[in-house]
Amino acid sequence: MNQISDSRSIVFTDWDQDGDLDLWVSNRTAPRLRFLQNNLTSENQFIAFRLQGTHCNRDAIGAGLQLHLKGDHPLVLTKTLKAGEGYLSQSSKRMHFGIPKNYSIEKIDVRWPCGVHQVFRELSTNQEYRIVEGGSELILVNPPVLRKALIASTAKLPDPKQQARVIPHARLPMPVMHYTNLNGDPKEIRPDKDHFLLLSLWAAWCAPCLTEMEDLEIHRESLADADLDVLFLNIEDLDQAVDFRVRKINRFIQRRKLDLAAGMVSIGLLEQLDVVQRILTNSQSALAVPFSFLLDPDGKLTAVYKGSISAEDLIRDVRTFRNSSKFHRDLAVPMAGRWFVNPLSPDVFAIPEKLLEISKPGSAVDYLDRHFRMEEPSPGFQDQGKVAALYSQCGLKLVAQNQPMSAIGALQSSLDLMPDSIENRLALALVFQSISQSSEAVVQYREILKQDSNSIPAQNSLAWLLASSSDPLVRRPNEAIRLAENTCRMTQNRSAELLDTLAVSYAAAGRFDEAVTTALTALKIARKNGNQKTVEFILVRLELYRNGQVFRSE
Amino acid sequence: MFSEYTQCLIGKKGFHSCEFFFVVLLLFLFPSPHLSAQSTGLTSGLSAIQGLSDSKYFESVQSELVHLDPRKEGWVTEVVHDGVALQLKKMENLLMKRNGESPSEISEIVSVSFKGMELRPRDPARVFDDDSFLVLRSEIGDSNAVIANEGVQGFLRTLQSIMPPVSNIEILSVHFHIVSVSVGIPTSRTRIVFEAEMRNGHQIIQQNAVWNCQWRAPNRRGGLPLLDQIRLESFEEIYSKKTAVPLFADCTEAVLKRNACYRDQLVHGIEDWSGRLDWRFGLELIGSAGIAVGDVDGDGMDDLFYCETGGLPNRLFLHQEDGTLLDYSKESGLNYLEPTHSALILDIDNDGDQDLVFASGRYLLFFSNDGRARFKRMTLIQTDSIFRSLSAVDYDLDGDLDLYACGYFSRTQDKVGLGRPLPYHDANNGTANLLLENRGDWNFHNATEEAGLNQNNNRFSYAASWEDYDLDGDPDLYVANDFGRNNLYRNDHGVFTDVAAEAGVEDIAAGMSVSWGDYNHDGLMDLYVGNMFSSAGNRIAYQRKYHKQQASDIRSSFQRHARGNTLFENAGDGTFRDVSLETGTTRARWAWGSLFADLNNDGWEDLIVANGFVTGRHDSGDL
Repeated sequence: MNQISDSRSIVFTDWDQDGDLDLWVSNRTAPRLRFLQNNLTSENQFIAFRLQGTHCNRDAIGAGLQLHLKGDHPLVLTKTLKAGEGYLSQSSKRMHFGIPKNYSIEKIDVRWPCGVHQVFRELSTNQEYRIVEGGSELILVNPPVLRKALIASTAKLPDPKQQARVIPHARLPMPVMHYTNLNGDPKEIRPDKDHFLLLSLWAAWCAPCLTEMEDLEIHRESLADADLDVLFLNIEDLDQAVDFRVRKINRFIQRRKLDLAAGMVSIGLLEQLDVVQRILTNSQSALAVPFSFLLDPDGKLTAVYKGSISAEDLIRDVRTFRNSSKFHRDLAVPMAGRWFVNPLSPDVFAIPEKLLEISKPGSAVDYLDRHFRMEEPSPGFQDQGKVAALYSQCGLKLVAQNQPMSAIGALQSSLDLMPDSIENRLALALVFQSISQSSEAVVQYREILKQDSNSIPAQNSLAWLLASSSDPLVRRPNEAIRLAENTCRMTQNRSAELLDTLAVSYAAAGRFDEAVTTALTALKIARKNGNQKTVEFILVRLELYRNGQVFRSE
Repeated sequence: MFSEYTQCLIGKKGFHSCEFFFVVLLLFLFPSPHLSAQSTGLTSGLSAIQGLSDSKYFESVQSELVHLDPRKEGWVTEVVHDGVALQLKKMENLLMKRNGESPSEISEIVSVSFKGMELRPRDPARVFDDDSFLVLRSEIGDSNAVIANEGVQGFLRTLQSIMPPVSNIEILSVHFHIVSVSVGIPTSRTRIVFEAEMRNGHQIIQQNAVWNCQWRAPNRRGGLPLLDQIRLESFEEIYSKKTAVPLFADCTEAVLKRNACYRDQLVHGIEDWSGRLDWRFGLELIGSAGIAVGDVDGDGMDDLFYCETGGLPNRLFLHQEDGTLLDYSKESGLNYLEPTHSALILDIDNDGDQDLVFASGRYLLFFSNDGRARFKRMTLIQTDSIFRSLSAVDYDLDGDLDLYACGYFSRTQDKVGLGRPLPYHDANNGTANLLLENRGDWNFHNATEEAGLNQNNNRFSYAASWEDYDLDGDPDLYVANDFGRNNLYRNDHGVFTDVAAEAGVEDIAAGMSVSWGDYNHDGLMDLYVGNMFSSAGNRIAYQRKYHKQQASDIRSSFQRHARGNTLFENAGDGTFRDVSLETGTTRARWAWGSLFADLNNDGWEDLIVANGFVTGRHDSGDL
């Protein structure tokens, strides 16, 4: 009996009508609803009342009862009729009073919610009465029915199931995925026209996997009749060379005389599939084998099977998914019921968000490109702002991963959707700058200044490029000076970095004296702020100006 | 003595706790996949780039998670705690006579200089005695402390001294909770709550005691602290007099097994379902299912409505004459699949049958009963608040029932099922609760603002309960809020004022539930508030280092957060007195539901508390 439960709400009611309060409890753990029968054997007594309002609310919620008892010492028991107390719970509206043995009832004092006050005497213990507001007397309710004793539970609770079929509430667009076929070539995973495709993860050491493989092998024709293809993807030897894995899998398949489509996963594919299963159930459980993903003819996720699946069940599922006129979500719940909200679109952002979270921005961008840039984007992608934000997030991550070209693509996609995003354009310009595409960067900075002519980062970076670019077509020292003077004025000459840019600009225009003066001011500020890196940079440049040389950034 | 997961406090002015034990693990608070979340910031020095609000959210959760490993924060006490916990586990094994420890192993638990008192006082006082229960108690002052046993053999005698003077006793369970640790050299001190359940053929006995233990630093690197001294601080022993079977018998199967939904749906825990359902249906890992009882088919017996999490249908069961339940969900029209938290069974239209309202996410749905338990949806109200408990009353005394709905957080915060309370100890960024005035014909008017209930109405509210505590004839309202202070709204002719502070019932803590009852028979309604109790919170929140940069009042509110439940005695002059400690009603683990109910028919209100947060794989003893 000493099992552990996480309990939530409690309700009391004399369920078995034997004169004591029983309990219903809800739990987080199994079983989630529990009945606890009170087996009180005491000689104590009880009395119960049902109230009925006439002027006040019919349930008489809020009515106050005072039960006056006679015994060794007079006792007054006070209770109020409630509808909702404790936590998420509503107990019985039958008002139950315990009465110590050797006590009898003097009177019951009823205060109805609207203010009427009534007193009743001559009550017996161990009875139940109905009281109607304004009524002249109490009504004895039929004596409690004798109950066959309920039997305490002895059965063991079932173990949590390891196997599960999880169906998304709406068919879910999948990442762009590739596997390696048994010739060692990478191939994109895509169902054939009008065919469902089951991706089944397996390993040679996994007995249930082999059972499943054999079963599906036997039923190949039925699967074909159902327009269902199966691709078995081996998950072993991920650290080995492709040739080695291909040889090993081929040997295994020949030995077992299996004639089925097989291939193998890369770590990248495994990560993508893990993302899919995690965002589906929000579960903490890792991928295991056997584990299968059923894709519909559009390549969308239709079901996930944890544990092995039989050909029979699979064919039945595919037929249902193909033919059912129900909404997909009605197939996705294990028990029938009704809804009051409309079906939701698939959660198309969950996968790219999770891919980003595990630092796979490239895969996230592929996902957005595939599903958002179609002529008819998948439902759920209506939120363009969110798509743009995701692209931008991917772009920044790609920058951090030192993949500037991919980053530029992602940031440009983001800007296509939200051209007014200064932050994204700034990021894009910085990426261009970082790969020495000065002219592209200049275009972006000028675009930003069109939107916000006072943007200090844009003015500063543009001035820097116009003054220090090694591309003579980009250099415009006088414009650089104008921009840099402007930013320094705006910041009251307090920023070492902005003054540094101004000094570089003066030098570019051949005004070396001013460059030296400005650089010295910048140096002073940088030293005061303890910004050692800036100090070092300025010192190098100062030396150049003193020698009448300009600074080139690339 | 009572059921294994519900805790009962038997009432007779004082309360005696007789509990079984629940294990909870705080770390489950945040879904762990986000542990792998990485910062998505750009290294090139760009400032705040507009990105995904969700990712930002996960990052902040991640930073909180990093702080959750106490050892990294330099809490030496937690290191001592862990060592002591391992030693206590060995003591538990000794008491339970598991794999009998040999003397050489015992010398790895106790120091050679061990001194111990008898752990069961000779003459505990009878503080409660009726035909069902006997409760014995002792408070042991320092002057009464007599060292009875010394050395390794003395330790065994000390341990055996807990046994009550009754024959053929078998120990069923032993639990230790370390509630405070004070680190010192060469000895550290701990305050430990000891709980044991025992049985012989005739009765069940439960012991609750507080031990002050002194531990000597380990004599080798990597060793465990050695027990140097045990002093008994307080002792309580509860006997079930009549029977060796618990007062409550779990008859769930007998009542429910005829229904397929019991086997297919209810018998499986939330953890189990979480791996089998798309979580977007609203499956709630916290698992907060409400229950409402009421007679929906007019046969005089209470029926039951079970509020089910998202993706599984709500269940309405009809009470049959043999006491069992019949699933009537589909026929009733109430088998909704959206996540539902709470429901009330009420006569909303005053036509003599029991109607129903339930709260599902940010929706409130009202259903009319045709008298035969078939329900028709009449009204759907949509808000921004995600609701928890409901409580109904006729607040304006116009003859029909109005509804109060507790909002926990707003729709925009509901991403991982938890809000982001700020500041944690006094969060005021929850969401609005709602007062719906019944205007007849299934029309409801949002009367929250005009009734004055928008005062302090932005908290994480879990539960509320109505009571005319000031006896002026109209119902007042108490609201229990998580992460901070609660509200007591005094009703003056339909207009409310929050008087929680002046009444002394703010109870700054993690409020979960509210129950009113006259526990002391003075005719005034007293108030019991379910909060969370955490051994870990007690250990840490009382150390000076904890939030030392914070003002002391903030520190004390963190301390209150871990103290547990609160019992407020109604003084009759509009104020309440916190009598939790003197009545022994604080420590009921991580409480959720709590109710006053006279479970043994002795005329005194008992307290029953449901508890347990999220059970982890091992017993940390912290909750």
